[in-house]
Amino acid sequence: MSNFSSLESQLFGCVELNDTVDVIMMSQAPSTVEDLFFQDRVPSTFVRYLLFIYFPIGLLLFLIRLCIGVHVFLIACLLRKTTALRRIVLRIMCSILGIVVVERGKRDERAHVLCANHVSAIDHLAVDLCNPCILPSVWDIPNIIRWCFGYMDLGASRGRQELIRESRKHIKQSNSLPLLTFPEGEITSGERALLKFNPWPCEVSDLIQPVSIHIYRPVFNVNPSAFGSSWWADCFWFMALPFSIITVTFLNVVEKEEQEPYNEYCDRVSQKIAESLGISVSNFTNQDVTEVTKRRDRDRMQRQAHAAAQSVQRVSEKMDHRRLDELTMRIKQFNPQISLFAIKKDLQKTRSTQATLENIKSGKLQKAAEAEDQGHGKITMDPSQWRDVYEERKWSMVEANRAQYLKRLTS
Amino acid sequence: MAGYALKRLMTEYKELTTRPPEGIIAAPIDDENFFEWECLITGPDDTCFANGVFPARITFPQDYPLSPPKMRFTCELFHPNIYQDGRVCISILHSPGDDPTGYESSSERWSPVQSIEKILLSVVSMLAEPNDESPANVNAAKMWREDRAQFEKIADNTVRKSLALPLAEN
Repeated sequence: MSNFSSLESQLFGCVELNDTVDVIMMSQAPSTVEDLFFQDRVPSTFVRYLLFIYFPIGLLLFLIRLCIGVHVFLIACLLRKTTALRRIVLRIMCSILGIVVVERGKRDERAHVLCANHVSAIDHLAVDLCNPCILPSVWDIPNIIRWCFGYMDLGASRGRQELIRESRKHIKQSNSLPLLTFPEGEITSGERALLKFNPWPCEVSDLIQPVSIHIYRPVFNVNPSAFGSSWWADCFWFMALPFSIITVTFLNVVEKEEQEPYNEYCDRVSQKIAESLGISVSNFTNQDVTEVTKRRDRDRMQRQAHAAAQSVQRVSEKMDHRRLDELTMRIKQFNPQISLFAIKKDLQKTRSTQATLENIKSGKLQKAAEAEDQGHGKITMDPSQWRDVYEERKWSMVEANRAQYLKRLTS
Repeated sequence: MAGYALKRLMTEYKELTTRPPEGIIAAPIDDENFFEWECLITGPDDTCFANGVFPARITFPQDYPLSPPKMRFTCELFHPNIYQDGRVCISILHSPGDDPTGYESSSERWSPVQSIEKILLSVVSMLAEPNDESPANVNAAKMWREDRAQFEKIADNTVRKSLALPLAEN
């Protein structure tokens, strides 16, 4: 524990630095939702190279810490949540796991609800180490982990009203643990701006203690989260990197004024956290984030599908070109009334003799006679069009010679 | 080198597209590889190959037009100057240096002033007038000389095949 003070002083220096940086950034409000997140986990090429060298050590460290982590889990489960022993033991073990928690400010026992900004998947663990608390499981987290960390199901899945009712009931119980909430609802970078808070914690209690959380990683300043990253990836980085310093700052309690609407009360709470981090509060809600995530996933999937389709098409075009020509000719043999060009085009689309024959049967394909006035289309100066010109000419050439041959035969 | 070849092929492609010679068309197989072409040749009128539309591949070397391209029919073509695998044996496709048959004069050989169009026109006239002095297909040459009727019958079936027509009965 003795090394905490030195770490802390180191950290303070950094926080001050961050503050100045953030003040500059505050002047330009985030214009898109994406600005609130780290887009890439690795911030610079330099760190990338550094990580490359560090990788074997990191992996080894991760594996060792994984084994230790199991024990931490066991201890966390065995010891009662309120005991001081648990806190000290867990804090040391978390330091071994690379999670160093630094506490600032004073916890005010009057407030039963804590509101914090969300910067990583283990925020609640950090706060829990400073001050035991309960996290209502608003998010979809595996049951086993919920059990291990002593989360409480306050009926979030049954709707907002139920959650508020259950939470109120919980904090009314004497000597109950305070409720930790992340009203942002999404993990953000905590460096540009906060998401607009969901006001539900403000409806639970009139006394809220805001908590600001900041993560700093010396040397390997890999971002604790990245937009759309999964919680287990975040955890991996926590355990693979030498260590991460999480500063948990308990801020002064915000009291709801009489007649003050929940929204304004909530805004005051979020403003307080933002101030402490030296950033602003944005107007984006976590619904906006969900929208953006969805759009991003959709775009990515479309791009992938498109690229895959294109490469498949390119390969098959090269390979099938002659085969398709052969098939075209064969189909023509049994369906002389259909134009070759139409058959080839349809085959390129269907890629199946059967399907094209079906199309011919149902009369979808152009007749040879109708196609005659085509095929001598304009020639553009654009070379990419020439291939199509060739294709048209090719089939009309076969068609014309075929007609001539048959004419010669009958005359 | 390849850059010049590409430029030259592009020029020829444009020429062949905008002013195609009668009964001949040619184009690269795909836009990414200009060194592999497909072409169609119509059998010359008043011959046993008349109205046949014969597909062939032309492969260009990287130092085209210094070296001649190679040409190969992709359909079966029973002809004295076409190998059984479809390769075309014609003097314009041979560099002045090599002479597999020893019957060709230098003037008919490949030189950079030749072009795809000239090659294809030569092939058309080759179809009309087989050169049985330097046969690539000995059987075809023999039949051409000795059993013209049978040769024409085979040729007619090739034409029918190229036009997606049912084969004539024997």
